[in-house]
Amino acid sequence: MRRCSARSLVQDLLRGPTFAHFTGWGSGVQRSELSRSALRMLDAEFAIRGEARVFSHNDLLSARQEAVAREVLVRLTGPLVLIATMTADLLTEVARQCEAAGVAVSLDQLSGRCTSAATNHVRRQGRVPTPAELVGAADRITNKVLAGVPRRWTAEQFEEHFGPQYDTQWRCRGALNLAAYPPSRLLLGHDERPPLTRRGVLETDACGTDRSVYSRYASYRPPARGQPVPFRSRAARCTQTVTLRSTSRDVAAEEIDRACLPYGLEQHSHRTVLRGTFQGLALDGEGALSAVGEDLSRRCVPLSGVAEVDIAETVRTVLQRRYPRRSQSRATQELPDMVGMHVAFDGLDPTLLAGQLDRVARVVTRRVWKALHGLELYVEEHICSCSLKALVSVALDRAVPAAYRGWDDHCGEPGVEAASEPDLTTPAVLAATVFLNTRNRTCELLMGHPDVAAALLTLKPGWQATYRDLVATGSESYLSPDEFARWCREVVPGARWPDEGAS
Amino acid sequence: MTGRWEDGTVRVRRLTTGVLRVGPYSISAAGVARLNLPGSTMLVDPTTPHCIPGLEVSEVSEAVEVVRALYGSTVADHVLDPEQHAQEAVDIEWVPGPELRDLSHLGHLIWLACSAPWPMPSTVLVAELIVAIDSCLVMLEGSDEASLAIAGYAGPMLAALPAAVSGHAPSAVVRRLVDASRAITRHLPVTDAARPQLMAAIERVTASSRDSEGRAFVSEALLDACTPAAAPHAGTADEGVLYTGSATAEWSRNTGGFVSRDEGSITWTVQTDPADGALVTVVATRGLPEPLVGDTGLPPMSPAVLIRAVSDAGWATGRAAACSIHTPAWPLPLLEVLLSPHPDTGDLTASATVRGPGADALAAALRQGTLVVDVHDLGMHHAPLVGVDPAVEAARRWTGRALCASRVALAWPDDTVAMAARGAWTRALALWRRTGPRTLAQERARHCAAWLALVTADGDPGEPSSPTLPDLGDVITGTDAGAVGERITLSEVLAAGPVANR
Repeated sequence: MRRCSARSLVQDLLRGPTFAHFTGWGSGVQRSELSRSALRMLDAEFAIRGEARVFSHNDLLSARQEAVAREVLVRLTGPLVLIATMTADLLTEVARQCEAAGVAVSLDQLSGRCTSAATNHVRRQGRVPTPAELVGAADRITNKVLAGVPRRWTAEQFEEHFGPQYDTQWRCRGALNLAAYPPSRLLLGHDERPPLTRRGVLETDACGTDRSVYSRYASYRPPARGQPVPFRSRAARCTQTVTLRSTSRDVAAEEIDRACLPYGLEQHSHRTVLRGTFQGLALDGEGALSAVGEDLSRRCVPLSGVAEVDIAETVRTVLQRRYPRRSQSRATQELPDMVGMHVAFDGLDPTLLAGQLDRVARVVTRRVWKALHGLELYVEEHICSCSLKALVSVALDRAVPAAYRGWDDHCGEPGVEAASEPDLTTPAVLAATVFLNTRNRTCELLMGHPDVAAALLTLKPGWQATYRDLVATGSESYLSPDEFARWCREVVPGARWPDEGAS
Repeated sequence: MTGRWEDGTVRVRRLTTGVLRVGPYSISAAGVARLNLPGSTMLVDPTTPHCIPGLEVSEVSEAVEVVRALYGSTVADHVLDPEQHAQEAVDIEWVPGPELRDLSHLGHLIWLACSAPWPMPSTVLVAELIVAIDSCLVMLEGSDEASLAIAGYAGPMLAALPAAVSGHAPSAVVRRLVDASRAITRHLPVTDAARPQLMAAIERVTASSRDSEGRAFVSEALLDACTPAAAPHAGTADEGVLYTGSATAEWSRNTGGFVSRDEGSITWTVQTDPADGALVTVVATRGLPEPLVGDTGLPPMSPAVLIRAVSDAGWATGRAAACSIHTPAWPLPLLEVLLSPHPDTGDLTASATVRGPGADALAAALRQGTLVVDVHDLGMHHAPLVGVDPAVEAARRWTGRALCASRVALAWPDDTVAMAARGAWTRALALWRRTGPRTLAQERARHCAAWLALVTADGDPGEPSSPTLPDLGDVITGTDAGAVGERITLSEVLAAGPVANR
């Protein structure tokens, strides 16, 4: 006998042929919204029949409960079809009105409101709405939608409208902030001005602060009613209030301002969190075992006034729990513990945790940056310790498999068009060709100096001075110290983290 | 522990790292697909379609609602209760959420997009991915990003729809493209100019499409991939000392599809000369063209944008291929060079000279037989001293080939395909038996043996499961054959059909 819950019974009904017309792809009626309405009606019917309330819709139903639920759902099919029909009509009407108003909304943003309005109408009236009722309901929904949806600029419009403003602001403070707070020190991106737009390529979390200003702006999608606020902890112990920022503010101009601030973030405390996170990752990379500050991961504290060292300790604690005793000398004996666990990768050896630690740190810090940026977009409050702990925990678990595949630190991937032939003429590929030649020359130079090669490759303390001496003649032909260090940490087992002057 | 869909309980294990695993452990014999869910990551193992996918919960508070929806309240309550964590592993009664199947299907499509051993029809695969993502959007962590990614395919789909009709694509393909297009219209802003165009295109296509079936014979690509064959030779030289060898383009580092995924598709020669250094020539067989869909091929699309919106594992790929030459005695590559298409053959070639101490190191590695020639997408680093064991990579590739061939054989009984699958499983089995770490390799071999038994009907189902890895999913059995065959994706069926001229 197949096990079922109220939710699975409803889902089975909605996946059936009766509702396929409404919930099929592109029809606009969301199965999840309709499912919510059906469950509300199912609960009400259970109460009317004097049946014990099902505590959770995901609970396993007893045989009796299941029989009652199936019977109720047969009776509810008619009203649910009515709801789906009215929802589809409302969606069409509201979409038409939004289109007429020139506001860019997707059907997904309307679906919840339309289903909710249709459910209320059917439960109260129990009949098909009159044309006047339909238009009236659509007007109300459209007004609410128009009040809450910010204007959307296309990339072309954004570039044209905000280009001069961005140039001016960057000259005034952006360049200075970049010099004072170089993102490369935290592995967030290159020390370059972020482009205003980057067309025809895909920009993801992996870009970090290299992400274009338009892409940062376009990532803002106000959460629909009842949806969780992005990047906020859902932990029961999270005691922070959530105040959603006004959706009618000028998000585009705000983003231009923010992009010219240190690390592209507005809140000073968020920059502290970034530095603390990076320090926490670095501390453990060095195999530090004693606490350097207070661990805040077990309680909810707003991080607006917390010292960097406490944030570092919080991150280090989470990291140590994930990868216990990562320092090279001890990792070998911990290997049996790691293999066969959630990472499910062969070759999860100490070198991943030492030599390729940059990649892990890069994934984590860039994800934290994205979350901090998202929080500034969505809510008034600063990040709290339980949100940070959740972010770092998830990022760390995903970082190892992602880090295992090496990739160059560049932003902007090919988009939806597939290339059938290699394209050697793009600027990125041409630049890569020059870079490969530089690497080849650097490798040749190092092989010619075996006396210092080992110290350089493993980035022993003082390696920068030796490297600079080595490349003194014709330094343009060889990798810069930063590029060389990054390369070594990518491919040389046991290459150290950079010491203070390395970056 | 069996981990089967029909089981009454599901295992929840608390790992020492603090991660909670719900469901069986994925052995990753052919790789796994990862899906980002709130506070957790779902791992879909294509070699165990008869088992539920495992969920690894990194942050309980974030993931609890997903666990509740996918596995039922009892499992969610157990996960949420800190006191119960004292028990390391518990089998709990569960209620499968309908989205679990959708997520499992999505995971399989992602695995296919990243690890298919022969070219898939990318447009059909993208359409299947769009429909699959749309089906379980509410469960995914980055649903906004996924929605944006889906909307981004409006333009390519506008070109694909009429192409499918004019090329007399099978009706199943047209239906799938229409489904994907409808999903796209839902994610496009109502003011987007592409939306009315797409809706008009859907109407035109729906009105003009007729029932037609494609595919009549087995793809050569499938048979070739399961049969090691010689690659084109890198050339000969008249003087100096000539060394030759061959290599395989590892799939995980070659996602661009520029280089063939067959074994031994790369050949190289090194001509050493004490005066001039070492001249290295590399030839990589170009990737096979996509299979025909109907009378012609559809305009290709890249699924990378979709995959990256729902999974962290698919990172950067370049638009060119590069080759790096390594020796175990030196951690940096001796030489890195871009490959360019040969004007006549289309194969990718490169030629460069290594001089000085690098040439000596190269010569030493040649004498010892330890030279590593790696072809990969530009942007990928290859570090042989810290990477995965090449034998494991090879075993995983052979498992992937065998798995895809077996799925075709189960869906569409054909002696030729079954024979190819048997050959590939035998090869995979032999390779896993030679690799370590022992316990994991033995388990992978056990699963391979079970699949081999399934396609040969007289194979040895293998040894009993290892007690040191207690959470592994059960091996596949004869009773699962029908279900696996029924759930084959359209892309897999089309990829096993006729191919374009190479």
